Amino acid sequence: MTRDRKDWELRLKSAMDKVSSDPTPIQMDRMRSRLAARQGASKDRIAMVAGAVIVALFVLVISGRQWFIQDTTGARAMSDQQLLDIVGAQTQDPAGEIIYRQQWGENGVVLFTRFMRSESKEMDWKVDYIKTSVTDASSVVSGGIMTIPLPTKGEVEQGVRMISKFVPYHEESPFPMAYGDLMNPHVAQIRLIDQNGNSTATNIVKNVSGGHSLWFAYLHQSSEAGILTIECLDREGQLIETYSLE
Amino acid sequence: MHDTDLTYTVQVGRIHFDDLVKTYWNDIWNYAFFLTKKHDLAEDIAQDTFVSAFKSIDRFRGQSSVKTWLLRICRNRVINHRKSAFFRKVIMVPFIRRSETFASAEAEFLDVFMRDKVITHLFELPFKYREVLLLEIRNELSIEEMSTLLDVPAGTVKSRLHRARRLIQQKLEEDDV
Repeated sequence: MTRDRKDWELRLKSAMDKVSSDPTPIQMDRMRSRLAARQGASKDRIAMVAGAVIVALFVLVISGRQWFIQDTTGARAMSDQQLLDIVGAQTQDPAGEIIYRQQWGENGVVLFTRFMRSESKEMDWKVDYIKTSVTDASSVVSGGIMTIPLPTKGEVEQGVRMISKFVPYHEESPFPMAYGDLMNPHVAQIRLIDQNGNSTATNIVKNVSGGHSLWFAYLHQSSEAGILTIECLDREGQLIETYSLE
Repeated sequence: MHDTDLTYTVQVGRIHFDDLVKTYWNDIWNYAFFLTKKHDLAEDIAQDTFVSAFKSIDRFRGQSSVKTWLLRICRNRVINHRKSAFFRKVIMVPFIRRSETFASAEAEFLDVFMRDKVITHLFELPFKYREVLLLEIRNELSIEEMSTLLDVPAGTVKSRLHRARRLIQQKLEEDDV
C-alpha cells in the first residue's frame, strides 16, 4: 500500500504541535536569576582579570623582569648574529659563519662555526655550547677548533679523508662529543664504535661548506678519544671506510 | 508579536527577556524535546538557550530570524549535551542499572504520546534525519534557512529530507504489512 505523504506529515505535525510547553513562573524566575548571575559573573571575571594583570605587572617590576622574559631571551630565541657575536668576542675573530646550530636544553645552543683562513688555505671548524638567560650572562663552553686543510686533488677525487675531533667532557654542557668533516659523497651514515663494541649513530649535515659535510655525535660521559673507531657506511649499510678518532 | 517585528526589536536591543521567552519558548522546547527525546532535558536546554541568547543579544545582527537564531543556539546545546552524554555513557556503562519498577511522569507522557506510530518512527530516525524533518514540518523553515542553521549545503539538506521521508514511509509500510 502506498501512503499519501501528506497524510503522515500532517499527522506528524499535529502530533508535534500537541507536544507543547509553556514556561512556568518557576522556570522564568530561574532563568532571570541565571541571567543576573551570569551578568554578575562577567563583571566579577573582568574585575579578577584586571586584578591579575595589576598583580602580574607588580611582580614584573619587583622581580627585575626575570621570569617573564627568560624564555624568550634564552639561547633558543637568539639570532644567528647574536650567537656569532658571543663566539666572536671569545675568539677575537669576527669573521665566523654558522654552519649548523642545534638547540640543547631550555636555554642552550650547540653551535658549529666556520672560520676561513685563505692565507693558509685551510678552514677552522669550531664547536661551542652557548647557554644564556636573563639572570646569567651568556656562558660559552668551547669545544675547541678543528683545522681542515685544503684537500689534495686525490682526496677530492677519491673522497677518502677523515678529519675528526673529540671534545672531552665538560660539566653542564652536552660534551663529550665527536665531530668531523666528511667529504666522501658515498657515505650515507657514520657510526662510532667504542672498545666494548657499542655503537653510537651520528648526525650528518650534508654540504655545510661546499663539498664538506659535518657529522657529530653526543657521547657518553665516560667516552675517551683514542678508543673510538669511526665507521663509514654506504646506503646499503656496507662498511666503506674505517678510521680512529683523533 | 510577529517574528519579523521581533527580529527588528531584538536587533535594536529593545527586547525584554520575558517577551523573548514567551514568544519562542514553545518552539525551542519542542525542538529540544524532539532532538533529545527527554522532557526534562528539553526544559534545561531551553532555559540555557534563552539565557545564553539574551546574554549575547548584542551580537544578533538580524541576518536570520530570531527563531532561527534561537534554534541554532538550542541545537548547539543539544549537540554539546550529546557529546558529553556519550562520554558519560562510555564511562558509566558498568554501573548503569535499569529501573523499570517506577514509571516516571515522563515515561507516562511518552507512553500516551508514542501511541501514534509516526512519532515512534520519527524517534527511531537517526539524529540528522530527525532534525531536518522537525525543522521542515514543525518549524516550517525553508531549505536555505535549514542550510544556514545546520551549516551544511542546501543540497545536503534536500538529500537528508528525502532520505528522512523515505525512511518514515518505509517504516509505515512495514507496519501495514
